[in-house]
Amino acid sequence: MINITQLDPAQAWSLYQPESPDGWTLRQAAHLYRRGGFSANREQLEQALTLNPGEAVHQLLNSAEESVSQYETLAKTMLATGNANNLSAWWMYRLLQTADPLREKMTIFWHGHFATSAEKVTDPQLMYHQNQLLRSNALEDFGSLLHDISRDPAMLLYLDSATNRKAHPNENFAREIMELFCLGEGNYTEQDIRELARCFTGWEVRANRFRFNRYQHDKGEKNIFGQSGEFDGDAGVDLVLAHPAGPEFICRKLVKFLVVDEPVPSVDLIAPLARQFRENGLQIGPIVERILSSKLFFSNDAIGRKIRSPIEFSVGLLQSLEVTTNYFELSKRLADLGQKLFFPPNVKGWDGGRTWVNSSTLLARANLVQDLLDREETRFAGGGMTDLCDKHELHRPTEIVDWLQTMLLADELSPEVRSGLVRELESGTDPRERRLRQVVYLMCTLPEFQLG
Amino acid sequence: MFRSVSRYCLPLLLPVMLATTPRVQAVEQAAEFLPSSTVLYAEMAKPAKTIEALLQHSIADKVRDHEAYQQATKTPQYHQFQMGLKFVEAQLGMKWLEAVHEMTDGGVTLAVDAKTEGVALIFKTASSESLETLKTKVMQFARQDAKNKGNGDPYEEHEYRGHTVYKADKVVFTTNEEWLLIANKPDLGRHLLDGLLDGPQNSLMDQTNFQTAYKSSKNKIAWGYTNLEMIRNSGIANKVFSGKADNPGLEVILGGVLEILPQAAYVTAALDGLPENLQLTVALPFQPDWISESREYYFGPNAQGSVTSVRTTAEPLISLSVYRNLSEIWLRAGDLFNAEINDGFAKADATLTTLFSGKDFGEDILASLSPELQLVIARQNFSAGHPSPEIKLPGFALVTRMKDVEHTRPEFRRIFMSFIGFLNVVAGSEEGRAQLDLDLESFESGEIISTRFVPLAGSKPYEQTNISYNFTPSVAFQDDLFILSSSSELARGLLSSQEQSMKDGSDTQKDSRINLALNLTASGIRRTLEDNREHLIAQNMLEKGHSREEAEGEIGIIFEVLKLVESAGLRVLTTDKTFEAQLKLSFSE
Amino acid sequence: MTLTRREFVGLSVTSSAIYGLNSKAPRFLVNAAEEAQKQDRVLVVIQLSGGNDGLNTIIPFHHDEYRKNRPELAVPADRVLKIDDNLGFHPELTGFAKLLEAGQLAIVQGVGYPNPNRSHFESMDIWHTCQRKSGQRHDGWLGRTIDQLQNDPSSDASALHLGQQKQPFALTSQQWRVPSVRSLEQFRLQGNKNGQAETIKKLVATSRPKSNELLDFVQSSTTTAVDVSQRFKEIGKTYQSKAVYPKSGLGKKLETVAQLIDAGLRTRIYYVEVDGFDTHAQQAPAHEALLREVGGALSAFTTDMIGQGQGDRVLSVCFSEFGRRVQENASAGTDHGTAGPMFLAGPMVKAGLIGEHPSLNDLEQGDLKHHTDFRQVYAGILEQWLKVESKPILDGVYDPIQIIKS
Repeated sequence: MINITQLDPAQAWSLYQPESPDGWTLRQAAHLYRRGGFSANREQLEQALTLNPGEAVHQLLNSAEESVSQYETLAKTMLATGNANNLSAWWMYRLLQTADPLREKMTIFWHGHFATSAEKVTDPQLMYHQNQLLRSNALEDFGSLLHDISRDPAMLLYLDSATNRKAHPNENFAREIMELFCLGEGNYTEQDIRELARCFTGWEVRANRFRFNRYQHDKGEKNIFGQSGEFDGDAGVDLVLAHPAGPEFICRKLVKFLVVDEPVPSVDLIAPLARQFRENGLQIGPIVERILSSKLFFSNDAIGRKIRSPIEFSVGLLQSLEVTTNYFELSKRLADLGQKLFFPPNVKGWDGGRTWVNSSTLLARANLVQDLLDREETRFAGGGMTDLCDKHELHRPTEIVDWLQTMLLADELSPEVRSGLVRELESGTDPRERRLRQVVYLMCTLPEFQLG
Repeated sequence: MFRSVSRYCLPLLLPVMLATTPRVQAVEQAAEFLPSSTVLYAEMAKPAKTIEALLQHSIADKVRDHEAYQQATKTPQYHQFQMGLKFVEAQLGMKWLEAVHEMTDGGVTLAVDAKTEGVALIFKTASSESLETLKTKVMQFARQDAKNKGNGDPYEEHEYRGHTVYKADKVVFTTNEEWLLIANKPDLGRHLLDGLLDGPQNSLMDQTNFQTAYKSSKNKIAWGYTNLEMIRNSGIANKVFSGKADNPGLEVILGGVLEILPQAAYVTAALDGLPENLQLTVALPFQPDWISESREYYFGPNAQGSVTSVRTTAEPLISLSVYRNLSEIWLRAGDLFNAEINDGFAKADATLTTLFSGKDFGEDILASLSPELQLVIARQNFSAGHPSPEIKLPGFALVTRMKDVEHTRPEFRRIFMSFIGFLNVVAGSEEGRAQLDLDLESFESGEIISTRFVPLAGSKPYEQTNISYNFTPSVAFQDDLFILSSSSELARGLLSSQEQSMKDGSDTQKDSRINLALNLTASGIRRTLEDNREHLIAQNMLEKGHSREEAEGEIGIIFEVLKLVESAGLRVLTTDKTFEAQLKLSFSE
Repeated sequence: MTLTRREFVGLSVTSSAIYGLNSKAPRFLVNAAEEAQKQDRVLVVIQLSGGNDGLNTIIPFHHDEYRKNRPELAVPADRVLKIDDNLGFHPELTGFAKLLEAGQLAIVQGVGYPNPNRSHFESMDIWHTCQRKSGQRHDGWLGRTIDQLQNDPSSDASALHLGQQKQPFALTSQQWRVPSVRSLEQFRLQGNKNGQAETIKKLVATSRPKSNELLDFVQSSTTTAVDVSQRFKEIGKTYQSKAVYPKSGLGKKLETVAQLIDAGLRTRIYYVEVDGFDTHAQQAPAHEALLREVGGALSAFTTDMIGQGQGDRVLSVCFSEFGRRVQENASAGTDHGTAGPMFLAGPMVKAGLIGEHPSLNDLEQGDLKHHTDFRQVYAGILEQWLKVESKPILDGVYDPIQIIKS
């Protein structure tokens, strides 16, 4: 097995161009959708196979314009309840119905990156506003995303910067913008934080809107990263954006999010991406496109080498099997799995990787699937599992198990496990529908399904 | 008369009669030969007529015209059902409704007997001929079916006093003249046939309680009787008869019933009212001196407590008028509830007393109000210029009277104003929460302390759509009248409305005291739901995973169903002899 | 194969044969057994929300100032449960008195912090994070503790919060998410099919020829999870508590904690809350009920744990965000104050009164002066009980209070 820390960076990120049809399979297409979205149904996978990998990625980045108005109408009614839990259910609905999965996936990435929790920001309207901001900038200019988020009321409230006064600059946001949002530890000094905090004095939230209070702004000279000037908040953000450590920090996080949980990629491996990111003026889309269409991405070093987040776990299952269900219940239950949208656990967001897994979250995963399968509202392609099988012309137990494998799992099951599942389907006195659901349940409890 | 004569003469005549003819005397009702140990009795006098009335009812037409119904008739399940029905009708040689009529013309009775622990089902059919025909056909059919399936004869045949008794599984049945007797215990079956053959003796009808109660069974669609005394003595459901609720919510609703259950000998239920409405009346015997001191809060002193008047307003959804002395409940919690609940009361008391500026919640606040309470829920209009929330909730108001106007009115006014002040402080500390302005409005001889939202700096009215904009709390006073309302609009409406007497002057109400009157108005409920149609659709989409079209369809059906009903109501009342709960459902024209 | 913790501990490492496992599968099980032998100590934190009236909890019943300041609320000297000649428990704290008598309760008096803040939220945040508002508050002291404690992510969560409410800030960790437990059901597989767990276990345990580290990790975690579920299924059938828990909210929560501990969950910290201590009016009956709830539940829990043979590894601690004003108010209640007592329970505690009762003659703006910083108590818990370095967790050096028997 190749250690990704020893890969040739230039090779790793070059365009994946399979020479034979064996190099572009359903398994790889499903991998692309799992990472560049949540998963896909059979039709989508088959359609992707008519393109080459690069085209398929390009298609993901240039999805057809969404008919956003239906989501907005829905959001408006959910916001009217004043309850952020309902907003969480709304997002689940959108994730499942979206025609632009990559944008949603990246919105979740930025939601975790610029973590803000409705636990503290109690007005869901502000959380929704931030969500829209993240979505519209998700694949665009990182600079304007950062500028916008710096003035975002939810963010300012979350980091206690809603009143930032000249006499007592609040260092929270200044620290996070360097440590968590742009540069990472070790690339700034405590002095830089104090000086940057002075730039943001006078930035306030009034009546749920950003307001600049010039009486509270410290107009004096500041010294940040060795540069001096009467910097204001925007100038401060620009200084951070210009810092050389930024592109590598962001690209590393993107690689972790899109390609592999572990091990930590070397500086050299990230370098080509960081260079491109700096040179293209911090445009996010092209970097994401390069990552997703790379040789490394489609290699066995990436496929199945991430632990699925609770969202990837649940939305992935639902999309693959064309499921609709009760989204209130689903989003509520996701808290037990450790990822409730709009409620990240702390300023660092969700750490991902192995931290998703412990005995309580794994049992919660199994119980979520059980609940889903038992639930009256749950429908597969509008009917039962039997209807789904009929739709895809699956009859024999082996056919069904293999089809489910392709749809649900990144890696093939061992022959023993596979035959164990086939046996479950063949034997027993339960009606066929129940046996089919039982097999789906068992598959979702397998270690293989936790990897994506 | 005839019956009492027969009771004395029967033992003498019996040997003679038995020798001559099996028919001793005309037994009219099942109660005359059901055992005296019957604990539960239910009868339906003319089921076929009821079914017919329902089928011909205008509601049924509306249902049949409805799209959802039309859809349902196109499903395979419906066709299968129709096929089955046709088959059965062909077998019987008559339409199903006709068969029901033939079978039940004299009434159907269901009874549970305590002694044999058996259940009996008794049909008095149109005539012995039609019973014989139907019985033969059904049994033939069942036997043929069993044979086709390769099973044995489903019926065992026995002889008892010259009658063939059939046994199928655990059920025995037999016929005599126009009677069909079915029981799940042979002992009970024998007893029934004996009673029918030998004439009334020591039957359910001989129970004095039953006799008294049975008088109320005339002209009802269905009627039922349960012997509570027997159930109590048997020791089952002890919790129900313990007289304790140990749950404050349950106590307030059912405390009075729990007080009566350990003492009342029986309970009856009667259904009537078609075609205009459906009315279910549940009645228990009652005596004012049954009521213990701790439950005085429920019935008033000497059980004379009653709600006398009611206020209405435009577009009501729900009005609940009830006699409950809340202060008494609060103060007597020690008698009514267990230690844990009393601990809960103690904690709540500390919090509420803090909230009410140091006034003791039980002794000062609740005790200053009359036990006659009315809760009104009504649709809000959200007149132009005011914030119009996205989710439009109805207004809620409590209407009652103050015992000591001079003392209580300024007290409540002050508490209310500091409460609004407190809300404003909380709202002010949170981003984006609007504060309330207080207004003093004179209103004929009364006054309203109303509130309205102060627009947030820089926000437009159309942005004020949060659910909290439904609440413009208000208090109103007029003489001793006190209104506490979640909406200032509703407070105005109630204060300007006329008070109406609860009693309509009818005979049945003359000596009664109304303990509770609940009224649901379908049109108000429907309009309030329609105000929120968009939200209901969204809710449905997320809850059921529906597409917008599916969600619209489902919500549409709810509205259609609501159109069929005009109102629903519940009245609980007592007289010196009875305790009654009347549930009434009125259909729209 | 379900084992109670004691059975599990009792097995030696070499006895894996007893499990009937081949030499390939049980590596993590052997690890677990080794780990279990060291048997981690457990901390149960009970938060009394709202500000407990310390003065009416540990009562200086002879003191003139006490009677003078509390004309309505003072508990008569003949009703208190005497600890010594000057101090006594509130009469409803029979639970605590029993624990003290058994040498299982330590009372740290006069606990607080400099420049006390009288806002519930702010003071609670200070207790939770050990930071003032001006500082960086990203995590709580227990969150930082589990960051130090937890090194094996595949095992059970290091800390659990019991309850439906918002999670306490104290548990916020930079590395781990602390699960909230609503009921034991969360630890059971909800399958409606018999033998479901066995089927899963079999499928999971089947060897994977094309395995990798990540898959190994999830595989062993899944087996652990199914084991946990099976243990909890058993508890549902066999758990017999060794004490009668009061039917109060806290009683039920602590009973659940006892079940979790007894099931051998490797969780180190449990957090429960009981609310209602903000007694501004009509304090006496409410406070009585609350103290009855706390005393009854904690003494039942401690007795149960000892009965289950777990006593020596369980320490409970009660705290509140502040005490209450010395002088009662006009509504027979008390307002927000400052210093108050903390309680630690378990057979290992250094039982008895620790520190002096804060002086009633030397007040600061009508409030008791603290003489023990709460971080000194935390330091004692961290160093003497959980055996972790307190300095990084408390963000400073605090002289630990001796709370454990030496």
